Amino acid sequence: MDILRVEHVTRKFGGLIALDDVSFSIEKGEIVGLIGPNGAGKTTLFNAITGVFPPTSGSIVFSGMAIDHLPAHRITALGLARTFQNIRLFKELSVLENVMIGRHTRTKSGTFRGMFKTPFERREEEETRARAYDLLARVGLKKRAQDTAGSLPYGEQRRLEIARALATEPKLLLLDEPAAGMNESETHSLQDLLVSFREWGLSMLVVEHDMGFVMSLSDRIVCLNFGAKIAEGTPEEVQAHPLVIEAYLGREEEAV
Amino acid sequence: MRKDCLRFAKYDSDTHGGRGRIAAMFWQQVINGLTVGSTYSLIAVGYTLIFGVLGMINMAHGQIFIFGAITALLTMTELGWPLWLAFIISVVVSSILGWILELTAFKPLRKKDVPHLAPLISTIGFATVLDDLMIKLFGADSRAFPTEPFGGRVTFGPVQIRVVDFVILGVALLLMIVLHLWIERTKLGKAIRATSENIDTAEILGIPTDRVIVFTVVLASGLGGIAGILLGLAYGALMPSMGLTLGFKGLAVLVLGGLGNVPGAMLGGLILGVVEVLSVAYGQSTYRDAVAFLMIMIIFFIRPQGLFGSQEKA
Repeated sequence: MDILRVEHVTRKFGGLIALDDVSFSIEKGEIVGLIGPNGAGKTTLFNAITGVFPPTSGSIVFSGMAIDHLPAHRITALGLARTFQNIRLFKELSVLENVMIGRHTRTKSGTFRGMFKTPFERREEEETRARAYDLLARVGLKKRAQDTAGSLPYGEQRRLEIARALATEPKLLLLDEPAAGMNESETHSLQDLLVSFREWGLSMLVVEHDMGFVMSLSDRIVCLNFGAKIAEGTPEEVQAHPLVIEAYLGREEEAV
Repeated sequence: MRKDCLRFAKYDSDTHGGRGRIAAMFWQQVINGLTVGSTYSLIAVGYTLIFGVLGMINMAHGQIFIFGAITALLTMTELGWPLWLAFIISVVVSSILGWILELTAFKPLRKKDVPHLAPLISTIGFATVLDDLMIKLFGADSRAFPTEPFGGRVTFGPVQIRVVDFVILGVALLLMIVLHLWIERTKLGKAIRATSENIDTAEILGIPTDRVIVFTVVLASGLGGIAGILLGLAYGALMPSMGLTLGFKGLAVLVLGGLGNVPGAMLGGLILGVVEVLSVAYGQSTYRDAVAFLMIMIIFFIRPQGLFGSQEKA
């Protein structure tokens, strides 16, 4: 069953066509890699899916429901989470609080009940705290729980952002260049971590420039160039696809 | 010899007594300063909460809380309602005005492609309407604020404190402590802090930021309503134009404490109050406001980000 279906999505910014009639789908539990040269429209596609910049035309269906034009917080509540290319933690809040905020939509005390500390809120807060600690343990940051997020080294900030996204209890996780700026061993342990989330049936869409990483992580690859989808298939198929090779290396005549 | 001794003794007792009086006067002034300052703090917290979530200064804040406070004052003088009820009336009226402000001045401009400072101008518009409305409804004259329930003084050694100052300081400090704990500990408090740090990320994480903004503007205005009543108690009178002048004090504290920084606004208000009162006591009262603002300028030479602001936000 499809968890996400992107159908003929186009996004224009003024006269610029950032996404041009893009269609693809992700199945439940599948890891899909999204590749393409700089400016191919990968981040724009992420922003369209998560409701930051809704598509100009086309539709996005998430677990059977059209989500284009829903506000971002509603999309999150439906079970879609993301991390950012440039890490966007709440740097002045503690590591633990960052993850607890991720659970905002999963706790019952609404905006107005959240004002008070009734026994119910207290119990729920304790549960939120316990779950947040579990997630921090999962990404190896339990010992840093009380530090401010801004004080973590880069690699750990990336892991924290993943833990915070997982706290929203997503069915689909969008990762925007999760391995950027990481060394080889950090990249390796990140890959192990992401693969381990398969046990929850979590689907993932991963944008990544590190080809070794994205090819070995993904079940399937979608390649964009100039806003349009130019190839889709298994990592082997896409790597051998002439249009993909051309997009990355230039036309053969030019290269020679 | 004996004469010398006597003279020495007299001299000694003089200096001793003088020192005691000087110290007592100093502490007296510090307490007065803290009392005035605590009302500045409450006003500044209102500015800083809104600045946090919206990145915008609410120029109508002064008018909103003075409107609430004068309405409450009238229920006391015209209807004979008690002071505790006046607090509630002031909070309710100010909160409703805050809500209307959000609906009319902030929300229509949000996520629209308007110049960055457009909401600032729309809040000035809102302030102007409130100013005119107050003069039409209440008149421009100052009205006495009944402080009888808190007549008298409490004596602590050489320092005498008016009971009313004691009440003002107590209410303001208690409220700020509760607010601080609330922001730190509750779910909605965390949502406000997250929205303040990065509204887009907060939204992506499932926080309904539009609702958080409405709540924050209402909360800030309601706190202003309490500050308005405390100001009435402190000055013994209220008039519409106090919204503007005290609003400016609050703005100065907002910047002094670091934009969007709640504890900074609290401490900044207390510092401004003490400096003002001391400058009157030991200098000239004509320069009261000038000294306060001079101090703020000096602080900015030393700490450009404000007393408690972080380097990044400056």
